[in-house]
Amino acid sequence: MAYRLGGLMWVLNGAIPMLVSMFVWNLVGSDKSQIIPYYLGVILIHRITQTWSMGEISDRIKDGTLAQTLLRPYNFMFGVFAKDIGHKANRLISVIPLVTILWLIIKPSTNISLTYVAIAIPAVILGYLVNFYFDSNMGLLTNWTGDANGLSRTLEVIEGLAAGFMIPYLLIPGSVRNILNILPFRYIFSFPLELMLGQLSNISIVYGYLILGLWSLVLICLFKLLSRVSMKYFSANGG
Amino acid sequence: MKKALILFFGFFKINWMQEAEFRVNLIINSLMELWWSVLFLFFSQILFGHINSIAGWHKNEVMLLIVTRSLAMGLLRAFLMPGVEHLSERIKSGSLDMLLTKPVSARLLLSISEQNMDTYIRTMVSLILVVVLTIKMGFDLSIIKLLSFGIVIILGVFSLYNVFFIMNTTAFWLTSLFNIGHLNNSLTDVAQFPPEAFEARVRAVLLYLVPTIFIAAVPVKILMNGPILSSLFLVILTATVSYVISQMFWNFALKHYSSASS
Repeated sequence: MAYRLGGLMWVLNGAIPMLVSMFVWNLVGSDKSQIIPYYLGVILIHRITQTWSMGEISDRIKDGTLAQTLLRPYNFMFGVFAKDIGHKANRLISVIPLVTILWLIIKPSTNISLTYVAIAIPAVILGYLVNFYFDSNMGLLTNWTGDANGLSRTLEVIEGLAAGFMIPYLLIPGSVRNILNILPFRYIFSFPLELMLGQLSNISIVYGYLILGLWSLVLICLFKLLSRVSMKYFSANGG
Repeated sequence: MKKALILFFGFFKINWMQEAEFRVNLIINSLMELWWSVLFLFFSQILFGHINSIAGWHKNEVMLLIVTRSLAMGLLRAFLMPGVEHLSERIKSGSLDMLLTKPVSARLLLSISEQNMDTYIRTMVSLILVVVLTIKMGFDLSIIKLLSFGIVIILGVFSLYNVFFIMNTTAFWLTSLFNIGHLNNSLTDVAQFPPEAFEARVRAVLLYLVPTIFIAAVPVKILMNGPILSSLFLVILTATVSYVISQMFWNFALKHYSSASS
């Protein structure tokens, strides 16, 4: 909170592209009762499921401060997780009022109900978990690549499409969607929203949760394996 | 001017040598810069699967808007903005003093000392795409049209640079603006869409106050319809006024600067 303006700018930076996309898809004449709540929801869900673990782990490996953390009597990932939660709280303090104000101004008609929201909450939590471990695995690759900047930018580009930011996920052509369905991004960001908006059938809900659960397991196991293997390649200069 | 060019090419060489030390990173970053443009083109393909036009602009015209904006942003982000966006860090660490004590304009040094090599590649590819799309659309390309296009793009980029420079100069008071580059990028997203698609008030703020209209819509209209004198006049005026205001604000901000360390 020392630099509040920086935090506010992150919020605006996340909101402006979504609002532009919302505006454009509204022009297209798509179902407005779905598009506007979808993009207002994207602004919120993105911040809830966002993680900074890749950058945190990559920086600690690059500057060697991971060595000090490894000497401590607790897993270094607790520190990474705690920082993540701190960042998240900071961003949400700005995002929630912003989305509320936009909702009150635009007044979208929607069929969101408490039932749908209740069904979506576990998906949001699992989505964050998947995103956290996905990014953490990418961060550990710094032991081999030297820098996570390129990976981070690659992921940004993939997320732009696969997460349903630029194009609402259900509007992506079926052939492309079939490929993107394999990736976890849709389940991190778009799936909770689709649940909240009541856009999915019961079978799709069950399927989506199964995929989320599977990705969680795979990524956690991969993280345990990678952290053991990558520590053998880790070297720090100085103290 | 000669000194500025010598400095520019000197910094270009230094930055290139620095980036070439991490070749894999440079290649990945360059590819990712290109991928964003490809993604936006894919986006327009999907968009036009649902509609025939946006505010009278057809698919190829919107695609030309997208690549023209990419070209302009490439020019802006290759060598003007990287250093300016680090102004707040320089102020916090005191390394701005190193620029202020040099016998050259500190603003010039700040603007050209850091350059993004991967963005140069994006700029070149965007330029090729502009040429290809323009030929494909069968526009008649005269020297006057090309000159007008070039002048508007360059002055449009310069105007945008001045506006973003003013925003970054607030770092003298606001201290931590390390992420303002992302905000600058976001504000130019609207330039990819026809200005007529936006409501008048939104257009006034997003396209004229932050003059993104001159980096895409106006240059594309010149390619389509020929030079528009009023637009040329307006872009020259905008570039001049924005430069004067940004320079005055910079001088005012420097008077309030106290170094963190030297």
